[in-house]
Amino acid sequence: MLRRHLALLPLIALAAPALAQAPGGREVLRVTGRLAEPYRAGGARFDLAALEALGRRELRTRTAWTGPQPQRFAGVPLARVMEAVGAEGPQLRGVALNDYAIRAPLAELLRDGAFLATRQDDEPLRIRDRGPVWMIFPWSQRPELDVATIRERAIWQLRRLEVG
Amino acid sequence: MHRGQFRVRARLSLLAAAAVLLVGSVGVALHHAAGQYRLETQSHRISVWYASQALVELHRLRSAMLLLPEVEDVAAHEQLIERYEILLSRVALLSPENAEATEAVHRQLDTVEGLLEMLEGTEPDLLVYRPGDVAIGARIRAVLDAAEEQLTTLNLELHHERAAALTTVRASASRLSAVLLACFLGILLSAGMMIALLRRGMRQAVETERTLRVLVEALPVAVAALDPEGRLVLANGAARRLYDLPAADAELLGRHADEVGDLGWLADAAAAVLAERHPLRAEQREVTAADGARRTLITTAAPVLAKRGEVVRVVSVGLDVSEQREADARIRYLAEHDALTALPNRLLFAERLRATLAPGKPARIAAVHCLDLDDFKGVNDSLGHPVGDQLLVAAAARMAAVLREGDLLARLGGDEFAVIQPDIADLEEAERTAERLVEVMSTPFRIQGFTLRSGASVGTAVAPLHGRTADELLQRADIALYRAKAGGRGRSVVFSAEQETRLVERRRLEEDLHRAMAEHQFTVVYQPKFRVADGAMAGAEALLRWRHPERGWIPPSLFIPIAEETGLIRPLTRFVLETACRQAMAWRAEGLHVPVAVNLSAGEFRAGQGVAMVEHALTATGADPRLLEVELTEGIFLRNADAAAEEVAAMRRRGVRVSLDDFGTGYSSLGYLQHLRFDVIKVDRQFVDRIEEPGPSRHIVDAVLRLAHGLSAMVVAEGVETQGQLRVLAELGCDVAQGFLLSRPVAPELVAELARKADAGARGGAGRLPAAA
Repeated sequence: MLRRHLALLPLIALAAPALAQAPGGREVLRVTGRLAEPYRAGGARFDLAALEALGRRELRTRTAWTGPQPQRFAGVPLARVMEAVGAEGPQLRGVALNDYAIRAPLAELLRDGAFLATRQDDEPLRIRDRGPVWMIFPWSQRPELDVATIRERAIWQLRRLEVG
Repeated sequence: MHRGQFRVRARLSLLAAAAVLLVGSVGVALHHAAGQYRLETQSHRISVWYASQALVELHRLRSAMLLLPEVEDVAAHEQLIERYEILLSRVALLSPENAEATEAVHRQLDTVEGLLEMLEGTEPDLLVYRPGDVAIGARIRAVLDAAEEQLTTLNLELHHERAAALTTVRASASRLSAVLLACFLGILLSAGMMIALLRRGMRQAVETERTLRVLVEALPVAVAALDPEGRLVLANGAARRLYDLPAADAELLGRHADEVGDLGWLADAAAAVLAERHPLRAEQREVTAADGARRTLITTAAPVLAKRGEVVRVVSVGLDVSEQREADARIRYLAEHDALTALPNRLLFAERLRATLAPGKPARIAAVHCLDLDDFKGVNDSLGHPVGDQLLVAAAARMAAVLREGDLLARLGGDEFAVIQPDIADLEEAERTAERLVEVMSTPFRIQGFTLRSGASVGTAVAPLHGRTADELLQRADIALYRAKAGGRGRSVVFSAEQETRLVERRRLEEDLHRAMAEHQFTVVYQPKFRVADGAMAGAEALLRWRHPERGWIPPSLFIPIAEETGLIRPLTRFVLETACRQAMAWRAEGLHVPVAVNLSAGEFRAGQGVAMVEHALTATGADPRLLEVELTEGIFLRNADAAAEEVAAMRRRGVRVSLDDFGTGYSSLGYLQHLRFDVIKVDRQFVDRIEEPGPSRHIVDAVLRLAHGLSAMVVAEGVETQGQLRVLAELGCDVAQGFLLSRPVAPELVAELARKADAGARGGAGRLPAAA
């Protein structure tokens, strides 16, 4: 399904040329593995601005870790990031700052609306708030996602995504 | 006709009632399953895990602090701040904001808030910290120490909570299985009967048929029926959902099972039922449901037989047990993990080690480290289990922090831990890890206000070099650990073949030692001591000798340490004490005054048994206490000095003389001499050895003599081998001498002879010591 988007790639690469190189700001996320050119060799690196430049959206949802009230998050849908780097693999492995890792079928994550949150109430997420990147899901909109498997996929302090 | 109709109606109503009951019970079962799952998830998940994680992160922060280079290094400092931020996020998870937090967390709210506040308070310090800043470093470390202490306390509380929940979960799990099984059988039976009835074509009961169809449709269990040709004739809503089948009857009914969806297994099951004409055994299978989720089902199929005995339908039912299976997985997790530290336990460790070493895997080097906390028992015994438990939790966190992703740390039980490193470059890497483990454990722990210097010993074995099977490797890492502990603790040792030989040798000796006790292979010999001034015999030291039936005399230096470790030292000491007491009384009966000295091992004192054993020997033999002297080493004051002092005092009150052996060779200070009186101080042979030449040895002996005499104790010089040594000792004013020059250890009869000779010499005023016997 993702292959369909490959045609768009050169365009995106032009639009965000910082992706393949070291970003100007502090790198917050690196995507490696089975990606399209030009990312295949070195992976794609994002600083906060480059990541949000892919298409910043809002997501209002409660999470199991932030109390009963919905919170206002902003960030980029995982689908958008995967599309931008031309992810090809069936699996996605996410690794956190402290080496905690999850692995899940990419298709399932996309189906469940995985979202890479970078901000809460417009403020960048600090590491202590589970940032700089936190993979969340639209729990408020889709209550069926409030199950252990999905909660376990909600990796915070996400540092690396490996496609393969 | 009328009666027939009535019978059919009655049967149908019964059936309907049964079906309603069943639907009800299935509902109950599923409700149970869901409840169980919730209970279980809530109980084990999480808070313990979060608290442990917080501890691990705390130690990573410590490591980052230690690793900070002296020179300005922005990246390393950023790493430090990153660790700090991660720690904050982990502690924050222990708040009620987190839906997964448990009761205990709510109870500990103040602790967690205080902890967060404290940690946040150290942020300014951390931001400017450089390795040279001693004051700032100390402040940060103080905060981290306090945080560690609070986190371990919290962890322990959570652990207790989880242990309680675990009990509930286990009980409800077994109840659930029974309920499910009963429901399942009932469903199978009723579904078969319903379909059989429908098949009979009771047109007069159209209403009832419709009711039954609704019932079957409403069952939360997948029901499907096939005709003998393998075509689907019925599939209820649950079946269509779970098997991902078309919703419309037109696309489904009348088709072969293997033409629609992924139902090959159902076609096979139907064929098997048709062939064997009886129900299939229940099987577990995974299916992909219409919503794309993988579900676990228990399925079975049974034939519906017509009157003539041929199979007219095959009915299959499938019960969705996904939740139950998930709960099972959780329970397995609990069974495979240690409840206190949440680490894998021995079971999982062994399984992983076997998997790591499985033949057919690409050849690679794997290491196993066995690790024991030094003196854990001491902590447990003296400070209680809660402190011991916290020490284990804190230790586990520290160790986890130095391991790599992919390494497995397990608690094998008690204070035994083990690590598998499944893929390392070389032996050196294993050695480095072992050293890191020892190092990280050598820093003292702050627990409940106590500073515990625990330390750890590590034994390492590497596959394939030291073994290829899990048992071999674990055993050899254990042997290496044994060496590490014997070599003085707080160190890491890699296995070598020579260790194994030594161990085997030792084990054999240990067995022989047990037999020697039973077979009276021990004897006691006596080495006389003589007064330096006039040569009279001052007493004799009782020494244990072991004559091995095959190997001859075994030196005490070889078997005494083994006896001390195995606890055999106690019966052996008792034997020497009683033999010596009897001998001294026998000599007295011959008119000789020869007090006997018996060595008590430091271990006896640690256990508070010294006085009891001496008392027992005196009572059993009726010996005069004044004829007994016990020799102790300074080692007894190393641990519990107060208790040892009390024992020494008790012996002296009893009239037994107490002698301090190997004086000056131990580690203890002279402090204890302030409070404690000894009758005799024995100067070690290492000082006597070089006493003839003027130098340090002579000065030391001189000093000891003055010290001892100042404390009204007698001095015995050990290991006197030359006339020159004896002469110097006499000049320095030494009281008593013992050594090969005067007499080797000898049999009791010879002692009597020597005593008479020496007495005669002393009375004659010759003042000369006898030459070697």
